[in-house]
Amino acid sequence: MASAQQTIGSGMATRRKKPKTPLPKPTQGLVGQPLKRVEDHRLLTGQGKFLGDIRLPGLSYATFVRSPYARARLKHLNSVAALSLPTTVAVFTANDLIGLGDMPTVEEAPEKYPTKRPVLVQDEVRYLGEAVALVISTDPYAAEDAAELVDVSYEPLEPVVDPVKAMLPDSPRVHEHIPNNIAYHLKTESGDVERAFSCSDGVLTLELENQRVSPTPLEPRGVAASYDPGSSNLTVWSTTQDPHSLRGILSAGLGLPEAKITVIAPDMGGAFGQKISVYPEDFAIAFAAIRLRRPVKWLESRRENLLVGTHGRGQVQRIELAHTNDGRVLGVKAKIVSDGGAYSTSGAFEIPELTCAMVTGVYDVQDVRTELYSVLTNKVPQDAYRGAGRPEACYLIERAINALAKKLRLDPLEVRRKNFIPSSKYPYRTASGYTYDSGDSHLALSTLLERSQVHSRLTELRKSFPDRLFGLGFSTWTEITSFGPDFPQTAAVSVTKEGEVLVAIGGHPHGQGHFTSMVQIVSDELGVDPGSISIAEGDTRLLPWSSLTAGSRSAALTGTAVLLSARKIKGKMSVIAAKLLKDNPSELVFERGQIYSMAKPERRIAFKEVASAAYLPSKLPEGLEPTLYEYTAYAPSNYAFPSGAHAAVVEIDPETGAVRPLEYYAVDDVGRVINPLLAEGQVHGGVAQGLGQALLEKVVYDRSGQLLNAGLGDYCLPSTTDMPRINWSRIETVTYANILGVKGIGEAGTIAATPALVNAVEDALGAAGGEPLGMPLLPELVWKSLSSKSRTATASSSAHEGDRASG
Amino acid sequence: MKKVSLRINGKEYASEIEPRLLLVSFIRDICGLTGTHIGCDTSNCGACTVIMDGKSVKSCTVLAAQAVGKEITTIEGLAKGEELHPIQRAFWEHHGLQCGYCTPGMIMQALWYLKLNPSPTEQEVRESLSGNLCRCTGYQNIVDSVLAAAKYIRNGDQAR
Repeated sequence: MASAQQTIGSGMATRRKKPKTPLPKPTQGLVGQPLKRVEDHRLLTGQGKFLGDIRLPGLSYATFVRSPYARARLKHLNSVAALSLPTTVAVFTANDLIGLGDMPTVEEAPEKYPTKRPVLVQDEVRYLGEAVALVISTDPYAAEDAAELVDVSYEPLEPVVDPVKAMLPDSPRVHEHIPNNIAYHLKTESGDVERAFSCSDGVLTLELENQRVSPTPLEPRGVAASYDPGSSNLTVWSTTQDPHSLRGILSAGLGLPEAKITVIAPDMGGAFGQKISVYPEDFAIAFAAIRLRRPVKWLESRRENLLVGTHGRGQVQRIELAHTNDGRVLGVKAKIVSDGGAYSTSGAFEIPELTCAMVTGVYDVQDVRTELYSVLTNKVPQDAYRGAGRPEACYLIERAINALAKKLRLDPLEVRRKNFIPSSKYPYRTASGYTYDSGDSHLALSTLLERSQVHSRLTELRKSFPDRLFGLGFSTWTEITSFGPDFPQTAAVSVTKEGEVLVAIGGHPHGQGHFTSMVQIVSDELGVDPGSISIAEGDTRLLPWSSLTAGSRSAALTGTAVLLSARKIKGKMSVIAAKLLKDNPSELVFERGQIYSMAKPERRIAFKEVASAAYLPSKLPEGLEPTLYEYTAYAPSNYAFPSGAHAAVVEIDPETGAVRPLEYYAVDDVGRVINPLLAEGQVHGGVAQGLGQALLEKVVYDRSGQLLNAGLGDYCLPSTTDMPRINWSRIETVTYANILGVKGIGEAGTIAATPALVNAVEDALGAAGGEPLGMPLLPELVWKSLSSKSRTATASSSAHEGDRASG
Repeated sequence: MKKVSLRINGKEYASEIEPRLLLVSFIRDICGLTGTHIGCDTSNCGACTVIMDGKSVKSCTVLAAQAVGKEITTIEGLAKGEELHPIQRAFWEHHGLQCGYCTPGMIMQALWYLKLNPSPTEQEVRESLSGNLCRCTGYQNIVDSVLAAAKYIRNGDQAR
């Protein structure tokens, strides 16, 4: 495969539809260039400012006392011994949280039940690690000591652990008012599903589990809060992807006006969806800081992060494909049982909804029925993990397509090609009601095969090492990004009278490199040196409102909001410059710190000079407001739908069942790319997380609801030696989802990698593997599958070859 | 409580400490050198990696008291003013970091390893970093950064 550098911008762009609005001008400037990151210097030199690095005068340290049971009645709690330590400042229990509201839940609707979630448990513990008390000390070590001294007694109750069993009538209830623990039930149907199934030659049924995993950002969560009684201003520092949301929810919980609350999200060591929700700790720490009139800080330990940081995925899935004998899919029925955890949260309901909506992937099927059960269990609530609902959809359909190929003894790629949405059908309206903006799965797949040569690579491997087991797996993926009409993103651009540009962006980037990509956009638009542009973010005082950094939406939304704000600045500066140059404002060019007209390029004025003039009312055209500050709240009218094709080559050690990923190839269509260096980095990291779920990761609960792997020694993240090299390149179909022409890249790798890898392992195992493989594909599981294979192989030695349709 | 003095990045830091105080807490909370990060409780993640007497150690697994009399180097001790250490520069040039939380530990581990093995293969670099976790990058650019840094150092860029 050619290197990514060679293939980026290699003229693969396909233009099909006449644009409704003019296309962006071909890029001359920084957009599209692999600019090295502007945010790196301080991170490389240890000068990042993460939550744990915050120091405040008089700071006290918090520790939570957490339930050792998944479900229990809180009998008795005594904090006398903890309070006797000289270092203890306070101990709070549920009874002490006077005036503090409960955690947010969902709106009540038919077949949709809200739940009451306390900040600290009052009577019934509903998940392992749920906090029962908050201890504040003058020293972080002493806080741990004091927490040990809080005496709590519980009456353990039978927990609900398995989401499918939870739906049985005789199962205990996580919340008494919710029958069968079904907190949310949603059915959708489009087309004529019964007709599709009755017309088909057969039905392929596949049942899979998409296991619960922990997002595991390398920096766990944390909160600090400081209250100024004089002004009654509260400042909260939190590891959050969504500072303004947190401000609003804290305001409701604390009964403090939003205008009195500042939320600051400092540098953040990854998040991956786990830092979207508002947590009990946010409420408790803010409350304690107000009550104690001194700053309080809490840092989550890794054990706590695995126990009580939201988990992602967690679905038991069933899919039925009505198909013809030659592999055409006519109709789809999907049933999702989602393991929502102990409380009704919007994340636990909306994420599996996305799975249902995206379950047809890149395939042209209009007769579709989905049914979702979001079920309560005695586990920490479920929320987003990179991809949030779409990896689950992609996994289900991409495994099912392979299973269909296996059933019909067809090449899985042939079955894919037969069912791809033809590029001529874009914009394509899906059965679920979305409109896919653009895409070309045929081109993505053929490009992948051509550039990677994976088939000959596999043949070569099998020939060179006939005693070893190799497999090749594919996924052809899509997802929904650019959320969305309901969550506008904001940005403001200002220019100082010295001509320096300050950009304020909403949300809270945490590793994606937004500083760099936003600098590229602004530098091009205003024709200024990237070094003269500063970016500020993660502080609710910067902008009146903003929405979350998540869902591969920042290039599309933040980028567009930044671009539109910069354009407004340019418009205003053009008017001022035109007056100074005695020229027409509509014809001015901003380039290399100069402003001039195309007609008379020799007459120019410095950007800085125009900026200075903007601050002198006497120099301004009449009616023009002095200073340079422009704000945009941008809400796209539609989503965007990136897509692509991925391939994995794996080797299995037949002695141990260990899976070794050897090679990984990806060709993605993510629209226009602002910075290929950053985009490729997102794919690398995404693939690593998708690989983690396929091969290594799962939160393992026993029957009593204990989490058996609440540490990084047992919860295995991929390490350097688990990862293959990733060869990424791209194609580009033109999208009009936004004026930048971008689709979003953050989740692509995670969505595509999991099914590609599992399909590769199934390919390596061959036909006789029996039951469909579950995840993660730990050696034991693979080895067992291999042993059953060797038993079957004695009976039918030709079975293996027969299935190797893609080889 | 006992008064100790630790030598970190060539500077003496004296403080009264409890015997149980971890080196990472001393570095972060007493010295205010917050570039050394904490990512787990079990010495799996490597975010707290520092150099102690020429060897890389996970500072969450060393007591501050054990570091008395030793020479400690943290991430803050690498760059000379604005001039990045070649490993830092390689991480910048090869996009070897995203959120930056694992980065100081990765760089310190690479610093130790490249002294031990100045011309490593890709596989050797991968093995040398296998005790340092990163959740953002998929490691490819980290590995490439370390390989590039090895080249810079071999070509005479100064390394401490």
